[in-house]
Amino acid sequence: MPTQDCMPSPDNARSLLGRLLDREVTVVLSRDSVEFRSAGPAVLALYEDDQKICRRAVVCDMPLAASLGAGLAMIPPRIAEEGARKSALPENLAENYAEICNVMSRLFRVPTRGMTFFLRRVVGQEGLELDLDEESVLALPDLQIDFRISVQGYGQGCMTLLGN
Amino acid sequence: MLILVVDDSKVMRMIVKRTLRQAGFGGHTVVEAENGVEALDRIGEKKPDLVLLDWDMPEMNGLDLLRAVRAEDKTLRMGFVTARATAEMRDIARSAGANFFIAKPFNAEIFDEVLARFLR
Repeated sequence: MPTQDCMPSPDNARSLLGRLLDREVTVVLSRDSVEFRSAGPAVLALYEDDQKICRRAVVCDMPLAASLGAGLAMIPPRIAEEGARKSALPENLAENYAEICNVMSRLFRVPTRGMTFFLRRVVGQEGLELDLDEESVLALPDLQIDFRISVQGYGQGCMTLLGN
Repeated sequence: MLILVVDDSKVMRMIVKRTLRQAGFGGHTVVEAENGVEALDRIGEKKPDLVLLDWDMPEMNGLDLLRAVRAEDKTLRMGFVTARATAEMRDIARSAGANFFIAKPFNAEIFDEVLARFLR
């Protein structure tokens, strides 16, 4: 049974995202969750374990996904602000955000417990059908941590990390 | 020297090139490929001195590319720059003939530490 210590701390996330974006990133615990289906537009990243079963998910609101995607490639903040107002990320920001999600798979690794996860896919909300194991992580997570993240020079938003 | 950067992510190729410059390797020429098949062509055409490989790529992944090159050439300096940085994957990479292994996210200090012996 996974325990909450399998989830990354705000400091783990700050360190990884700051190094990846090569800029200051602030991460604090949030009281708000990002829910993939009930709130506003969001982006979902799904991760599988070494048995190819989906066990982790990251749900990110649009302002944060756009800020991270833009910040990675130093795209002007205005483009991120425009992207954040859309129902799906523009292609360039989506590609960049997917690369961030790929690197974020490291946040879920717990070598001492033999836990390794790899990115399966990153999806938006439109016309999405989830596999059973993906649905299970979203609907019945055993683990959850909510972050509020601010990207220097860009915007901020919330990210919810789920696991089972 | 000529450096080949192989990654299916355009932004990651850009970041690798930027980090090479930040690490003091900006005087070298960099060429790019977005998958293993394209990289094999580039290696044949351009004869790079160093190849930086992503692991997961369409068409041909980094490990298959490494094995294909090593079947013909044991001397070309090649290694991984990847988010798949587990101990098991490092071992697989080493066994297949990788000269180095850099985990994403990386920075200029890490590039300098790992790549200086090939580029200085």
